[in-house]
Formats: sequence, structure tokens, C-alpha cells
Amino acid sequence: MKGDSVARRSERGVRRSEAVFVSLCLAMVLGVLLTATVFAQDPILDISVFPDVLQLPPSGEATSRIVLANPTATEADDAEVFLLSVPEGMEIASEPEILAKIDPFSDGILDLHFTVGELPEGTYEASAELVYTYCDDDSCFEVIEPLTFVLDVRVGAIPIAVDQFGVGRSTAGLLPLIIAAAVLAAALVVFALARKMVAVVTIVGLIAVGALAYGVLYDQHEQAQGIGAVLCTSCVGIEEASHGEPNLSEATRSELAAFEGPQITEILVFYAVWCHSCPYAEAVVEAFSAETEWIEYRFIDVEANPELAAEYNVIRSNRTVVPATVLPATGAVLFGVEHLEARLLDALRSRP
Amino acid sequence: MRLLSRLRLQTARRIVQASGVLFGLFGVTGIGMTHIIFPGLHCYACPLAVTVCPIGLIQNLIVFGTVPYFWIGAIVAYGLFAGRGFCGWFCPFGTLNDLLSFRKVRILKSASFGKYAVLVGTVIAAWVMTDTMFCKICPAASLEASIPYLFMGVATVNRPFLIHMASLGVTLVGMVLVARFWCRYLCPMGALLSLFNRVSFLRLRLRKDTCTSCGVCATKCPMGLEPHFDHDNHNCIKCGLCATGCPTGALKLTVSPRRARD
Repeated sequence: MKGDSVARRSERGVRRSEAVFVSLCLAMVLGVLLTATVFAQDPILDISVFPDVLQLPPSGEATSRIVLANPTATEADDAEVFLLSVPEGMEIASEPEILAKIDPFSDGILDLHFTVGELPEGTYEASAELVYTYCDDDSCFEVIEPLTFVLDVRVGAIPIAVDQFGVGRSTAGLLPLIIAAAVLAAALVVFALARKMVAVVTIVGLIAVGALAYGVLYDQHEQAQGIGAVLCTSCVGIEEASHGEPNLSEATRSELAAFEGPQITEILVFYAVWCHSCPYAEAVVEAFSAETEWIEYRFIDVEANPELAAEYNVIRSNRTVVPATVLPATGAVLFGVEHLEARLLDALRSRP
Repeated sequence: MRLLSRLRLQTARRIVQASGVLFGLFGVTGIGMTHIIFPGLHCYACPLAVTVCPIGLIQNLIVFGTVPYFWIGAIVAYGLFAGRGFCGWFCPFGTLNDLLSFRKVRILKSASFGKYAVLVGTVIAAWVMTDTMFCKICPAASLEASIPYLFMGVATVNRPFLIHMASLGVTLVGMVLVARFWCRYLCPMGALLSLFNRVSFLRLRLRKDTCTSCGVCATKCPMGLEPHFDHDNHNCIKCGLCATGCPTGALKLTVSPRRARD
């Protein structure tokens, strides 16, 4: 009897700890959601300026590179630098003057060229504002970010080359990951060594909830959906990716020349920016168009124009297949790039 | 789970597996791709799929250079919930492995680390070649994408198709010869989930006082493990076949957050 009651009591204790665990998880999720709504209108671009201090000789030139990393699924538009205060005798030119758009999950680069006149040696400061806009559904926001440039004017200073900065893959958001991972990994090791399972499980749970929330905050779930919803023919091995210049065969050229004209025929190429074979499909259509007077073409980004993809029937079982070459006159849809030249010629033969 | 009698545990598993196949392979068409990452190896190119393949996604994210917070969160959440339990209970490709589990043998134990090599290789290949290299040889993609698209007129019989068929053929032969061949030695998703096996809520419990070390469980295990010695193995897929077969009821499959060292 006594043992029974002890067991029951310990079971009650277990239930209580389970309840505490579940409510902690719930509180965490709620907290994250609340934070997400409060910061919904935050700046979306991560701005980094290279180098920290611009070193240049008097009457010299130096370039400062601003890398605008867009880690969200929202496109940023019209990024432009406005100068606020510039030391006298200094000129600053932006190249390009304005960045029309920064695609989701990619970087934009603005180079500021500093030219100093006859300035004495010393440290100067220039301040500016970076302005860009972005739209979320129907509401659009303008974001203004202050920028400060520190210039070190010295005789004999050699400006730092900025060419290599910000080129290549975006690593936006890497720093918080490294810090969080290091802290959590250290905690995990400590608790695992001490065999404190509750702590280990809680930390793993924290990692899961935190990473999910951070990912959703940066619209990474939309990105995942986008990746799944577009099928590129070379990606899962439906065909091999083709690169390079398509060289139309002599037979194709002569047949194209012999076609009855001048009935204008439009060819559409549906592509995705990350698709390996798409440039080749575009090149084939360009080569066809170069041979004749009567072929017009348009390249359509399926991720930006899903409604056009649906209209021209390049969606197969809810998946947009790229590259897809479409002949609207006959409704022919050619997927992939394998034997595209022959298939496209064949499709052109059957046009009215 | 405790309410289920031992036999009904396997019935429940078959039902969950069937729902995994329905949800994964034959996701309700018309709703399109969702934001959900599938907790198993399952091709998102599969014509009726509505979920994203975690291995395919991570390769794409590496190609883009995105820090995959959402992906990490999803994988860790799945791992915390069931660890490799998804291999035994949900993954459609795991279910295929299951159906072909004729020879539950204990061989090539050290080769089970091959799947970590596959995982690391997949990641490195994606980074170096900026392409989804694993997808081009993945047998799940052969079965769920290559073959259906052949009949839909998107794919043709060409070299990539034959490579897919070869990888599928080799995997199928392997599965027939060694139970859960793919899950044991090669699956990168299994490698990922196995990292969480020791913390997952779904787990096998061994009552040392009732276990007689008879070894019946080891003959039932499709992964070639010995649950009576090591019930918390990183390769355990929590299928519960050992618990069903245990003559003394010392092994049990339970779902609960871990508290102490058990």
C-alpha cells in the first residue's frame, strides 16, 4: 500500500513536470509570434559597408562598397544613397546611381567613389542615408538607414580594393547563427556530460523553436515552398543540363529561311533564375530569332509571373516546369532543352 | 501508446505508414506545394507531392548560400519528436524498405556510417558544384519523379533517367538481400534524424529487471541491432518490432519527454 501511494505521488510529479514543459513551449511560441508582429515593418536589408575606414592620399580616390543583402522573400526596390554632409573639397559619386531592385535572397551592390581635393591630412566623416522601399502585399514601406563613412586622409595611403567584397554567395544572417550555435552547443555538451536529460531536451527544443521562428521571420518557409513548386528539368535528373552556345545546324537554318513569312510568331521561354538549363533554352530561341525576321520572343520568370505560367500551360500537377518553351500560336509546350532545336523546329512546322 | 496492446502497435504503425504514403506521395492535389518540410526522404518533384524534401531543399539552400534557419528548425523539431522514428513509421521510402525486409541480418555494422558520408558528400557536392547532385542519383526520386514524369511526357529515356533506374535497381536488390538496406547504410535523411535519437520523445524503453537477455528482439530488428544490449542506438527506427516480439515485455515503445537517464 505504501509503495503504491509513493508511485502515485511520483506519477503526479511527472505529470506536473510534463505540464510545465508543455506550457514553457507554448509560452515560447507565443513570445516569438508577438515579436514577429511587432517587428513586421522592420528594415529587410542587411547593410554592410567595406572597408570600415577609407584610407586615401590627398587628391586621391577610394571606393567604398555597400553590400545590401536581402535575406527575405520580399523584393526590395529603388535603393539609393543620399548624401547629407560631405567634407568640403570632397566629391562622392554612386555607381550605379540607383539600384532598381534587389531580388529575394540575393545581394545588391552600390559602390561609392570618393574623390578628395586638396584636403589636409586627417580624419574626416561623411554621412549619408540609404533609402529603399519594399512592399508586403498591399502596403509598401520606405526604409531610411543612416550611413557614416570615416575617411583617413594620409600622404602615401593606399586605398583598399573593394572588388572582392560582397561578390558571390550571400551569407546574410550567418553571425547570429554562429553565436547561437556556439552557445547552445557548449550548453548541450555540458548538460549531456552531466547527463541532465531535461536540460538537453529543453535546449534542443529551444533550437527547434528558435530556428523555425527566425526562419519564418525571414520568409524562409516561402522560399522552401518556392523551391518545391518549381521543377527544373535538370535538377532531379530528368535530363542533363546544357550550357554554352547553341549552334544551329545547316539544315535548321535553311528550313527556317524557307518558311513562309512574314507572319509574326511569338515564342515564350519560361525560366527560373536559379535553373541551370534555362539560359540554354533562351539562347536557342535567340538563335532562331536571329535567323529570321518573323520570330519574336519573350522570357518570363515563372516565380514573378505564376499567372502567366498557368495561362500558357507550363504547370504539370501543381509544379511549374522550367525551362519551358511555348509557342502560343499552336499551344505547343516544350519542356527541357534536350533536342530543343529539333523539337522547336517541329513545333514551328505545325503552326497555322 | 501504453493502451495499445502489443499486436495493435504494429497495426497502428501500418496505418501511420499508409498515411505517410498518402500524405507524401499522393498529397491532396489542387492545393499545390505547401511550406511543410517532409520528415523523411521524399522527392518534392513527385507529381502529387505537396511537401518539400529536406535533402533536396538543403542542397538548394546551399547553392543559394542561404543560412537555413527554417530547415534547421524543422529538422530539429522532427528529430526531437521522434528521431529516426519517422523512418520506421512515416517515410514512404522507408515503408518500401519495410515491405522488402525479408532478411533481417546483422552484417556490415560499420557500413552504417556510410550514410553520414552520403550526407556530408551531398552537402559538399552542392557547395562545390552548385547543383543538386544527390537528387540526380536519389532512388526515391527515381521512383517518385523519374518514372511518373516518363508517363506524363515531361521526361524521356535518356542518360540521367538510366542513372536513376540503375540507382533504384541497386537499392532494390540491396533491400531484398539486407533488410532496410537503404535506411541502414545510405539514407542521408536517416543520418540527420539519427543525431536526435538519444533525445527524441518517441523511444524504446528497456526494463532491465524483466529482460532475460534471450535475444529474441535482435532477431526481429530490421536494422540489425541488439535492443537488449543497446535500446537507445542511433540507428534505431523505433518500429517496435522488438517490443512486439519480446516474450517478457521488457521492451516498450513510449512517447514522453525525457527526464532522467533512461
